[in-house]
Amino acid sequence: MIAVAIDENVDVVAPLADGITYPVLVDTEHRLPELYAVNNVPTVVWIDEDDRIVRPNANEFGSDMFTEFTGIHCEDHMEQVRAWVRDGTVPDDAGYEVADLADDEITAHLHFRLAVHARRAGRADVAERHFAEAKALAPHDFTIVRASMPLTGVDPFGPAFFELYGVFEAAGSPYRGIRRPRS
Amino acid sequence: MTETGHTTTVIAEDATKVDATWDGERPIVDPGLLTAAVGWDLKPEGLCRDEACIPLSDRSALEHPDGVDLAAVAEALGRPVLVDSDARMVAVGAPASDRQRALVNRLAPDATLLDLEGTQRRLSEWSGTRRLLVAFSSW
Repeated sequence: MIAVAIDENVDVVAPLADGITYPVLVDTEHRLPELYAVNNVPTVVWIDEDDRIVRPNANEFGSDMFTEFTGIHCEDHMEQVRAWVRDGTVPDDAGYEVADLADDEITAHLHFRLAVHARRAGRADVAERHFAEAKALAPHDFTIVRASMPLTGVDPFGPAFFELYGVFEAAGSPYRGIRRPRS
Repeated sequence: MTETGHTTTVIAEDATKVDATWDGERPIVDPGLLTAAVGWDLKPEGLCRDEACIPLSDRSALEHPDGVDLAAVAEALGRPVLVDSDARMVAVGAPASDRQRALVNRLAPDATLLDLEGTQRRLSEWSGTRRLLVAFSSW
C-alpha cells in the first residue's frame, strides 16, 4: 500500500502519518488528479505487479469513522482486497470506466497549482485570483474546492464543506470512480 | 511590447525560475533553459529528451527573435499550459496521453512525489508488487 496525500506540503501531512509503516508520499503538484483523474479522497486504485490497473478509482475507506455519513463499511472493501491478493479474484465493478477530465477541469488544476506556488512565494493577491478561477472551473472537484479551503482561511470541516457537499449532490454526485452501494 | 529580463516561475514537474522576455502574453526564453523548465530540448530534429525526439509540424510557432516561446513548446508537447503574464508565472500540466494511459489502457502512470523527508520518489519504485494506491488528504 502506498498512501499519497493530495496536500500543499510535507508539514501538514507528517502528523497524519505518525506511526504508519507503509510509504506515505505527498502530491503537491496534483499528479494524481491530473494523471488518474482523482477528484476526491479517499480514492483507492488497485495496481498489479505489472503496473496494470486492476480496479480503478474507488471511494473506499480505511475505517468506519464516516460510516454513518457514507453508508460504507470498510470491511466490504478489505475482504475484496484479501481475495485479490489470495487468488487474483477481482470484483464485478473492476471494469468501471473512469471518465476523462473536461478541458475546464484540466485548466482548473493549472490555476490551482499556480495559486499554491504564488501563495508560497508570498503573493497573496495572485494566489487568491487563481484559487477563485480554479473553483469556478471545477466546482465539484474536492481536490480543488475543498483543498483550497485551508489555503484561503476557510475551515475544510466547517460550513463551507457542507455547502460544497450540497452543490456536489445537486450535480448528481459526480465522483470520478466506483462508489460502493450503501450497506 | 517586449519586456526583457523578467524572472518567471515555470511550474511543470517542479517550479523553476527562469529569465524570460515577455512579448505580450508570450514567455520567451533562451533555448538553453528549456530542459530545466520543461524537461525537453529544442534541436534540429524537434523537441528532444534523451534519445527521443518529437518532430515539429510548425517550428515557426515556437521560435521568436529573442528565443523560444515556452507556452508554444508546452503545447507542441501536448501539454496544457496556463500563462499569467502579470504575475510572470507559467503552469504546465501533464499531457492528455499520460492520463489516457491510465483511464483507457489501464496502465498505472508513473509520477514523481515527495516522501515525508522531502525527497523525490517515483511511484514506479513499488512496481513488481500488488499494491493499493490510496489518495488521502489533510482536508
